[in-house]
Amino acid sequence: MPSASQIRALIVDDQASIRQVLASHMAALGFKGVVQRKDGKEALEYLEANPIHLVISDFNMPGMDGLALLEAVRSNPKTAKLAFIILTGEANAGLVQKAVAAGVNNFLAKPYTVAKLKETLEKVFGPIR
Amino acid sequence: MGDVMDDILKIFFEECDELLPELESGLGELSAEESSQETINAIFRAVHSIKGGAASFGLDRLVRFAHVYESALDGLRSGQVEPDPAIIKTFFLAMDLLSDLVAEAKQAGDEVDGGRIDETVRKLEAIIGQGGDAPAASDVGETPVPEDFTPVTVDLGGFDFDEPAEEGGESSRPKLVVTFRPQAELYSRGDDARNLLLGLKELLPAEDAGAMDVTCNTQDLPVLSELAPEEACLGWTVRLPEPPGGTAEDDIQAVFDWVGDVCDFQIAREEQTDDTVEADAVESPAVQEMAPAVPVPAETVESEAQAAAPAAPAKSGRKREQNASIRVDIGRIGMLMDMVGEMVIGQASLESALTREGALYDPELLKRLAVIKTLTRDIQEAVMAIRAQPVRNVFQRMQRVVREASSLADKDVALVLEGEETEVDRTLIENLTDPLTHMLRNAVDHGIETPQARLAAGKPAQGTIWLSARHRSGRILIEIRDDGGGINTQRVLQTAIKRGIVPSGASLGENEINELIFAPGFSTAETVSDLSGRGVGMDVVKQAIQNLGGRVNIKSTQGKGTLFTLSLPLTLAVLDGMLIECRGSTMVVPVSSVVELVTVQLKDDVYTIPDGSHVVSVRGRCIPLIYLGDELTLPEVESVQEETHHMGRAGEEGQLIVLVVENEAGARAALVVDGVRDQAQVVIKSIEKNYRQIKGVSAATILGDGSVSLILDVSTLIVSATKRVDTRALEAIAERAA
Repeated sequence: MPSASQIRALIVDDQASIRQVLASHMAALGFKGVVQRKDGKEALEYLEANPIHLVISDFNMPGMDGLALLEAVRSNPKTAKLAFIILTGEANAGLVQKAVAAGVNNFLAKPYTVAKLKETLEKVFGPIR
Repeated sequence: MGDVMDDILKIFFEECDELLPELESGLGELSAEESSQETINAIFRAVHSIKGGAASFGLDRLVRFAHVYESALDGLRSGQVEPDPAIIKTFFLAMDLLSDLVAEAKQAGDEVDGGRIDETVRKLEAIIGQGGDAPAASDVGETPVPEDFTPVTVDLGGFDFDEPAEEGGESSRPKLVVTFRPQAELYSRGDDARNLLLGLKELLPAEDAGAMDVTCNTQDLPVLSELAPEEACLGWTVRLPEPPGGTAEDDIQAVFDWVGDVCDFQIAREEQTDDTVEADAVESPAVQEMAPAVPVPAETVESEAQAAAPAAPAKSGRKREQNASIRVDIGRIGMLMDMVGEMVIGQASLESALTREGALYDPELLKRLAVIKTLTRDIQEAVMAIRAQPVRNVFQRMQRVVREASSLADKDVALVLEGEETEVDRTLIENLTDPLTHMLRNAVDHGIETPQARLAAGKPAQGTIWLSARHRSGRILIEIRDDGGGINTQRVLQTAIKRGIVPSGASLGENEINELIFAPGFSTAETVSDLSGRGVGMDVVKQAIQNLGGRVNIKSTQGKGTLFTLSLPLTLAVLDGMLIECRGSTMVVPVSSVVELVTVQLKDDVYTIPDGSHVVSVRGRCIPLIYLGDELTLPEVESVQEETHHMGRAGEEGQLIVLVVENEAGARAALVVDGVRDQAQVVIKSIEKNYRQIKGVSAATILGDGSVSLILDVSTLIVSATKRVDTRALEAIAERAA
């Protein structure tokens, strides 16, 4: 049973406002030092050099999108096992199916509350202190 | 928390300001025969991002509409909807509405009419209908996750939640010494020095992980009673064995890339030379990069590297160079601009003081003063360049103007933009929108013919308006050209006669007739249409352009089209002025409105007309005479004895020095002044902001001698003078004089 402060998390979204809303919600849950990146490529670069337990990523980003990031994360043995949650606000069943096939851990639908975020995270990590 | 969310909301609105133009230019490209998937994705993403952000802040009206719009665009993205002109038009309408809803949410615009939203939603839903299985527009925010999806729990056994090892052994290999000191900003962003330490540790092969030596530098840590909890006081020194391979420095740089602007750091190499070398990190700076602690206002800081990185003097600065731009609060540049203005004045006053002392004959002093002068001018230009902005934003707004105007007039008009990158001062850009809006509405309404008329004339049914900008000899030239019917000179002349603007039977050249459309009270439209007939005519446009120190020219070919050329100064911050004397005061007349400076004979050239006012005949043309001192009700002064030389002075009895000025409506007046002192570039200071509006005065400036001087509002002076003088009397006198 990890505490939120132990989980090293990475937020990936091209919109600064979305990232900061999520980061402030996560801070409210006790997360510390949440890192933010603005697209899949930057996220991969960070993951290459830093141990991360949890990625919460947007779907639709310019350049490398969330699905491509998920696939890249899963295909690298170093990062294959980390928890991957996709932030979605999109009514696109096809993409969701692809994400499931690629091994997404959970979805977080926009907009969300802190409680909903906690619930989504706990479904992946078990109860979070 | 509320404050934090407010700040994030501000960021969201900034994003909208970037996303909406992206949407617009994307939709513009869509009109072309083939639209790339990339363009379509960008369009979709813009709307999607606005919706997603809006949802986070509970901006319901915006979210609900963006959702329908997004659904319609999804049909386009999936290829089920073909972008035909009608659909593209709907997308544009939806974009305009979306941007109005953003403005509404920002509380920068009026509340958007519900009926307009419903109507646009209906049109979008019709498109969604074509797309087949797109989701119903009503389920905003519904989780699109399939029912049968079960979240996947991670195997925590595979996770390492351990603290990083902070004890290290010795190694015989050369070591790299990394010293870093986060600024408070790093922590307030939610980052952590620990992440940097972990990042450094990650660089080492697993067997070397224990060889990393971390020391916390606490020398800056104050005693507890003086500790400010939000200050960053700690730094770290990390010694790590150089990994085999050699690119270690680049890798270390990469660890700090994301925090380079909020964390001072340096990398040095500790050579294993003799046995007792005390490593001094500063002495051998193999790579050194100290990000300067530039204070940037919090609201303008973005966490993207491109926005945050102050031009760091990076030796190996790879990424930094590409993104070397910062966002600066406009208020700061305004302040800088003001200070440069003060500096120009200070330099001028220094020069005038030295001239008085006769010191300027000293060649040494002269040389040094010249250096300061050049520098001052360069700094002024450099600051102006910072404030310069491309006309793109204003130009793109015109797309919407033309779209709305043509749909109201039932015409098909395309607007082609050229030279959108042309840069002008921000102050000018803000004032360009209204006149341009009006001129483009006019071009659609009066310039472009109906599709039927166009076809009959052998032209394509779609009319085209070109809006272009370019620099020419220190000014900006904006052209508005249409391929419409041109100006109907016959009709213009008839109307002008009917309105009493020109006497009947007057014979005018084509250009003179064209100029008539700028005359006050002129409008050829038979019905006051919804578009241009909003109670303002082209005279107002011309006035507005002239208030900006600009000129309007018109060229028209019947059947082919009309070309309006606006010539504007690059800035509203400085102005070329003529310094005149009047009853002991020095005042500034904008050079752009001066036609000529002449001396007239009181006896021969000045006439008193029956109502008691005066006119003067200059080159056979009678114009109202304005005694500036009386007009501005300046107190009488016993003729001032000025020892300095003048370009002109009412020296001889019976002579007047008059400055013939013209406003852009072509109306002229003659200002009677006591003398003309100089011509100079002056820095414009608003009076309204500091005092209140004064009739006949547009602004103030500070002259080289430190005195405050008023800048005359020539247009207002002319208008009030012409109102007093019956124009018919002028003609009678002109005839008599001839």
